[in-house]
Amino acid sequence: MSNIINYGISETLKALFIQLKETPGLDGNKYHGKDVEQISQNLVCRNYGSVCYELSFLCWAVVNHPNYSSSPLLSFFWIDENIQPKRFRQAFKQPIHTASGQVSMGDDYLQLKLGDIEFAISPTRIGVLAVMLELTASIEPGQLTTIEKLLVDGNSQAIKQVSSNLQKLIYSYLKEHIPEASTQERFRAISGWLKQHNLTAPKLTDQDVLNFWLSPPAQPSYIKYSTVLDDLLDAITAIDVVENTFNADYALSLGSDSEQGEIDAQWVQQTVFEQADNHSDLNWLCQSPKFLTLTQYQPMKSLLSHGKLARQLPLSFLRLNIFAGWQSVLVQAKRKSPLVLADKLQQSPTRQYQDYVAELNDSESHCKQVQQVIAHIFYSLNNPLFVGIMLKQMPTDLQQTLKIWMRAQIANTTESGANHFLQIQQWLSQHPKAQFWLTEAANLFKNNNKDGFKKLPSVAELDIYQDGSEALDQCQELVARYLLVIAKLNHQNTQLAEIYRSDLSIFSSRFKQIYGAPHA
Amino acid sequence: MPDHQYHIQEQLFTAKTLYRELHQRTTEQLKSSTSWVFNDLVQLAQGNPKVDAPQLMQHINQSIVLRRQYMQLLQKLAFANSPVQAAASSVAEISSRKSAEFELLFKRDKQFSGQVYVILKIPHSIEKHHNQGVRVNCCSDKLISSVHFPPIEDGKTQLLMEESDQKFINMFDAEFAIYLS
Repeated sequence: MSNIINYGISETLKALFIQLKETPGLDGNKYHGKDVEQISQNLVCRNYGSVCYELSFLCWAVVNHPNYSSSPLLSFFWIDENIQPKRFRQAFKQPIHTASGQVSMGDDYLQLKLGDIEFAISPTRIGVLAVMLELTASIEPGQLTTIEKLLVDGNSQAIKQVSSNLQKLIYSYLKEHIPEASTQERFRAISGWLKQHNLTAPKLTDQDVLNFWLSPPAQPSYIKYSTVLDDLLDAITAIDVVENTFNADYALSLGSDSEQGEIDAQWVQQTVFEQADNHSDLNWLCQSPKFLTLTQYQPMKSLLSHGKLARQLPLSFLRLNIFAGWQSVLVQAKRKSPLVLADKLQQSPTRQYQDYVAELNDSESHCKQVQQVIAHIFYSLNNPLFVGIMLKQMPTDLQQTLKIWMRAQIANTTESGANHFLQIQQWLSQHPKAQFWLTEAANLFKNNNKDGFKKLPSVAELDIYQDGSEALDQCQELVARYLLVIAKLNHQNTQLAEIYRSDLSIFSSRFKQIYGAPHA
Repeated sequence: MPDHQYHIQEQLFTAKTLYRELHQRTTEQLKSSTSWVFNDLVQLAQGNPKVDAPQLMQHINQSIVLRRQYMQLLQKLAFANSPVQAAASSVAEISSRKSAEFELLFKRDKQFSGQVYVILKIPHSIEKHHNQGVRVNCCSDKLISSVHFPPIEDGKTQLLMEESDQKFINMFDAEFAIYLS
């Protein structure tokens, strides 16, 4: 009972993913956190078939590249590190003609042609594909030589063979490191409990969550509040999604390969990660460029993880952010000694709900600030995208004025984008509030010494700033809406403190029950 | 088809929960298990000082497969090497190693017995030797040990070591091949 229960994923696989993010390259970390995240999503959704296929084509192009005749994969991906779009394009500048096929770099894609088969690879995919190859080589370093042997002067059959080998390799690795029995058991227990209590997603309340934790089903044993919240919400979301979109007329068609009754892994990945209420881990915002520090990101993490359910269950998330930490301390203390444990049981958390709310407010204003800095960057590089950012961040009355003016401009003119930018600049110069906002943005940029903000990036590097801005939008929106709900709860400024006192006694006594007994 | 619906729900739950688990790191996990990726081996073979060499060497020496992999990388990427010395005499220890590209020798410290200065001379060093130093890998069938020397200045660099240090002993053991990064 005192161990951290490892539900499914092996320590090795977890450590592997940490190392994928941190392994050093020519300049800082070799791989971008976002690309590693992407591959991790592919793996947990079992949606790695098409990535392997795409990677196989890429390997074929590299193996048959005249500049890379000796240990081509090692040289291309590890020595030269052609794993960013710019370097990738440069590496394939010259077209390649071999007996088995041709490769040429177009404007948007690397075009491959083998006999009848044509395949296109976007340079924007190179990061993700490189991570996949790194994963493969880390599982079985000998694979690189195997791939090279198969693909040198290989045809499309050889590529298919490599793709199949890669998939098999990953399949057996996952089988070893992610046994599915435990997640199946948990889902069975939770969906049973939900049915028993006649609960669907819209009906779930904070009290339900607390009740589940206070008296969980017999099997499996749920002890940590954080796991209860995560599992309950993940399960209810999954059930909800399927019930809402399931079409009874096409019983097998939803998310499934109807011929084989299998589940379409691509659909799973899209549904879980790629929809509007997207639940990805945004830890990469703290990487390079450093949009946020970990301290600024941390309070938002749980809200990001569960999206809109957070504002349906505001108390549950307050409880998570204050009491889950206490529980971790108790788990550790139990391992040390009964004295330490007794001591920690007496020490209630140093932070209360108000403190967490204050942290969220801080995070939100940091997001706003960084957005302003990003707008400055786009503005300075004459990139009209700054308007979109500015529109969301500037005062509402100014927003309205600008929107109305822009609509009129677009309706009245057929001029090119460059002229639009100049016109916007002119408009801005006539509105002191807008000028003020931009000056403020410039100052914030000057004072920002974080990685990626010390000097203006080049135009070629702007993609990540745009990604960052979109992610920050997501954070801001979630946090703002959550805080609104909390404010309503706390409308007399007293409720939050009262609820905290009551929760403190509930959690205290439950923790004493779980951890206080001399023998677990 | 309720069973199929259940199965889909279960897949969605599984994907989400596994993803969450994959990215959860507790402080215990950070301390206890470390892993390596292929790139770490390549970087180590290239003498990149940013690699956690002791950790990685531990992994390498625990696996014959990994050792072979690392050896292959060294053979492809090393700046210079000195092979296992032919048994010229019955003595396995040698006092220096020499090749066209480098010389490795040692001098005993006059003041502190038990300590030695290991001197590495590279007359035609490359830029990274000036910037990041040189890694010396000593490889036998059963073991690989690895030492990082400070940046080269005026064609040489040196390291103070204990004479009893196995890593020092390996450098001058005829049964070990040397690879420089």
